Amino acid sequence: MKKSLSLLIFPLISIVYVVCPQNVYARIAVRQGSTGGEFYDTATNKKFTPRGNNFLLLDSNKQIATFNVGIYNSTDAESVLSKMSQYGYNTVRVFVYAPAVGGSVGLNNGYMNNVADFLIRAKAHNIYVMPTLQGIPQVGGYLSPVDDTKFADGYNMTVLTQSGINGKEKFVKDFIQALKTRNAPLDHILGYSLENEFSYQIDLPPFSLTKGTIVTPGGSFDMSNAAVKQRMMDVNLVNYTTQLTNTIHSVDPGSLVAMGWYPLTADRIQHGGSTKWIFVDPENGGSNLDFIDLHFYPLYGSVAQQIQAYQITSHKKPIVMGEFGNKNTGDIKQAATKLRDWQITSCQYNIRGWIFWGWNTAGVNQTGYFSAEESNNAINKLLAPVFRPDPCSANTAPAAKSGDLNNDLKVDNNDYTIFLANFGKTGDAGFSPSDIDKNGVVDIFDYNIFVGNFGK
Amino acid sequence: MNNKRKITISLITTGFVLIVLLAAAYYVKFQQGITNSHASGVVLQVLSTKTSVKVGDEFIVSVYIDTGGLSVTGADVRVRYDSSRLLAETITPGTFLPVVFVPGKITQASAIAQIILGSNPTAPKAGNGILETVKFKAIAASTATNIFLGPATAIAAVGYPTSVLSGAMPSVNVAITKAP
Repeated sequence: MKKSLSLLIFPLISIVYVVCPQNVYARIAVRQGSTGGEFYDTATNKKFTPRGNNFLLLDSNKQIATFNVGIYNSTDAESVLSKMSQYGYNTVRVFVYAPAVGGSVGLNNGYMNNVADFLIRAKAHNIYVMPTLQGIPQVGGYLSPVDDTKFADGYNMTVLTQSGINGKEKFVKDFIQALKTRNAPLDHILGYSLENEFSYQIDLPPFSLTKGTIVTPGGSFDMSNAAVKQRMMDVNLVNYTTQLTNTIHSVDPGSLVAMGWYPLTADRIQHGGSTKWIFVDPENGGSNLDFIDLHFYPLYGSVAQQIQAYQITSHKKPIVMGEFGNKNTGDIKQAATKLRDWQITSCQYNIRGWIFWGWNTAGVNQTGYFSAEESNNAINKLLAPVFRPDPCSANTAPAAKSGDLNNDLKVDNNDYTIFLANFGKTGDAGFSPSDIDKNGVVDIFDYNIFVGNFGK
Repeated sequence: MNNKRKITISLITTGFVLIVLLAAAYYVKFQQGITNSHASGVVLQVLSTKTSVKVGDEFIVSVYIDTGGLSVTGADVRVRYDSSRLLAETITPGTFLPVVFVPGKITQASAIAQIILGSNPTAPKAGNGILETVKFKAIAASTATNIFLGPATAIAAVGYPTSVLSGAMPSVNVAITKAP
């Protein structure tokens, strides 16, 4: 009897194991739309357009330290995410910075607690997070020694050696496992980005070598031949992104994987190496990255020039403008207009998402670029979805009603809370949005207008 | 006694008390010749529980509103009095306008008892009821000390950009005699 029961149970377990899919957390997926690859929300089947901001904090040495213990502050993060949500943004891009995330063994627990906290808060505000897993942690057991006369530290080592690939694979696996352990909402990860701004270092080994053969995970290559060197770049880039994408999919099935590229100009193409293969699908020799993260800045030329520089030959994979911004020189309103027009123009090239650089660049002394909130939200007023629901059009949303104190195009309880907090305050005419009748005092007559528009 | 019966008796008692209170309010009004403040239909009244008190006695003054069909969203009510005769002790908001923007604020030196109230944002209020009550204590004798609404008192109503009150503000006189 026992034996026959065992005979019955084991096949059943096997069937259940095979038939039941692994947990799929990701809510956002990609599909082929009428004009190429696009994002969509698997819960609603509606097209999803990432629109958001880069959020980063720096330490005293101006190193990225967004989630460092002692720098990350959950209250501040909550405030930032709340504001982003009020402006209608649905995406935030953050850096998981390799020099900071490593612990004595594996990843730093405190750091990962902060990442998980951020994810939980982002989900509460219905914002999707795009963590950029930059580099390989120097501590924690991720790096193995390599022959640096053949492979320079950095991307050359990471991509062109199996040791580098293994280290990166362990990093991304540990990262996702640490989030799972903390019950972080993986469904609100837009996609994992393998690198911030990838480029080969062509002035360093092995590209600086002029003779001999170099053995890489993608094959053996003759260093005396320039064309072969280029092929070594392309083949290994595809190999690296494919292996890492497979690794991430194995631990977070259904998730999206991307990789970031820095702004290209004609003279920087050579330095960065060919990018065209990242757009190509696996069946045609490309990688299985799910989408591409390109960084465009007006500083480096027109949208058309930069699209051309990236050698985009296919629109099957959605492209997100994971960074775009403007140097903080000159008039911010003109810069905001330029960025709005830049965004609109990029629609012609099938860009499927925009992430502004950056939310708080001024606040953390990340000087050099205008931030979204400064100068009375000059940038937000032209880029935020509440003001411009269609990123491909200059048309603005209907004017806010009197009483829409948080500019979300609704007069509701959130505005009511703001109004109550401001009641009785005085100042110059219109000193506060709550001074609706602009007579310099927030009083019952402002409330009278507010009530008249409440719920609209 | 079962619960249903208890509830019925409670309801009847509550209704009776309300009717008596309203009748008493109107009786006081007409007996004392109280003036009203009104425009566009809104009427404010100042009602006192006592018209004659002794030094040391406490009494309650209520500010009553009848919106006259308007939908009121806010009230800034400033009760004025003679601070050499009266001490304003407490201000209690009524139930007519449930949002308290500024809780009762008594400035004895200036003889002002102020409260600022509002309707719920979804429910501008029409009808009548008590806006507030102020508890006074008589501190010196007077043949008739006047309690009135200051000129800065204002009522906001839907559709009107300024206060719907105008004209003379309502008042009530209270006689204070020396304690025996």
